[in-house]
Amino acid sequence: MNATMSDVDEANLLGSEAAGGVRAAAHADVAELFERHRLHVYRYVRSWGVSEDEAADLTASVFERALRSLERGRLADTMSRAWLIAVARNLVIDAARRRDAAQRGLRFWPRPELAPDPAELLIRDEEDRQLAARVARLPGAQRDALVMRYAGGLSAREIGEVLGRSEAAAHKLVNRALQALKEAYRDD
Amino acid sequence: VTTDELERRLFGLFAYPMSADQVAAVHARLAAASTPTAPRVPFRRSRSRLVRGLVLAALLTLLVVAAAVASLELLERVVSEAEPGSRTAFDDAVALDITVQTPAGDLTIDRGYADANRVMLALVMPSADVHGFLRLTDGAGREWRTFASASVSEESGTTAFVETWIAPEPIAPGDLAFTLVSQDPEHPDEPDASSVEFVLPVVAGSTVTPEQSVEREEITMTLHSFTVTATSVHAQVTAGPLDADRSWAAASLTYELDGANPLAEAGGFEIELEDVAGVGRRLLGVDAGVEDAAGEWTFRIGELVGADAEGEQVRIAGPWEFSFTLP
Repeated sequence: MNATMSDVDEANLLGSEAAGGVRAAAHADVAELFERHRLHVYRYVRSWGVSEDEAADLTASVFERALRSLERGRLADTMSRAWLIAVARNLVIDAARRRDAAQRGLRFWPRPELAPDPAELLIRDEEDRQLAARVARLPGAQRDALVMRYAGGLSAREIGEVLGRSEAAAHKLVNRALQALKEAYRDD
Repeated sequence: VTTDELERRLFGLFAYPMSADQVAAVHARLAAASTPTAPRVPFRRSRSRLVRGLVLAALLTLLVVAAAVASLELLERVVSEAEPGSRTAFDDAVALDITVQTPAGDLTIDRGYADANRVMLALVMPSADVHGFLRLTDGAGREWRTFASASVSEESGTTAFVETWIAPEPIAPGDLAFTLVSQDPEHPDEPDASSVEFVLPVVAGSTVTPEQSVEREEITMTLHSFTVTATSVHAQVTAGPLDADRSWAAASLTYELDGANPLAEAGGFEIELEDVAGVGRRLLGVDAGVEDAAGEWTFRIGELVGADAEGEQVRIAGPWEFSFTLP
């Protein structure tokens, strides 16, 4: 029960070395996760209409959370793109809620007060602008699933994981969104 | 607008590029949040000019070899989490090593694979921020449908892509010419000079065209074709009459071969084919194949699920079951 000073020092040293090893391994793992998934995470965050800088900030926050989870012992193998997008979704919603609760939701071009460089926008022509408007008018769940599919690069199974629904339900959400967009084209 | 065009537009709408500065900033934040403890290894300098020259020559050779090895490792990482069919396509692909200039940099087609159901291309580009579109057509003038895209980037920006296209119809074996066009998203309607032609050997699949119809609950389901390759299973079906105000999906699918279910663990997919094969035709498939497909098959659709714009669902229980022999 009574440890000597040298025992304590040695235990602290060993603990410190082990913690350093865990941190190094976690950093290597998160670097790999970042390389693999950063574009999808960033695009997903940007699709919520936040500025370029804020999107980069939120993307960094997503991977910082991943890093902390890894340092706590979570295995990198369990951190799928769906897990990262789920974290991103929560962070974006929190940020939007803080910024302006009344205007939270998906947006496809930055708010005027952010004064973005128009060259950054991916609206190439009037058809894109109309499509963005149509997507913005979709029911929330369909829009959410659609953006996860086309910005976040998630499969129906992964969208289901993020939304807490079955794969079939997620698949139908995306299909219904596509169907609604096609009907909007037809009606025009 | 076709589903393909709509999907292409949607991918383009969301294809925000991430700048090198942003990537570097995130790396810096991650580094600050952690304290890597990897020991530094001192570089031992040679004092001999001859040795330095030899080392330099060896290093240059190694760099060329290393670049090829690095590309392969990056591509391996792309398919490391792929479905079994995509993995098989990658493993069985033939080397192409074709480079074509695109507005986003040199696009290298490292290898390719084709069978009766799909084409897979493994590509490497110097930049991750690629938001062009790749269109694939074959020598018969058929446009192949984009099915899946996966990528991995390394810190330098070099990015490996594994792209898969679905055959518009079961393809006969033999050499087939393809044209890959890199379409500039800034000018989607203009012809693009960034195209490349190549030939791939199409690996034979087993196909039947049973044109069988089964009626359950006043819904007639017709199986038009069923194709099995080493990478995938494709079934083309139509069903009707169905309430046009609802979006329909097939559910509880099983694929039995001689009483066993070799595809029980594989992921399935459903794609509308109206733009290439007539309104209402759907492709039900599995991203995993069967090496020896000969035998008695039973393809079963357990139920149809229809949802309206409000999300209200109706379910029509089958099953619609089709039995046939693959040679």
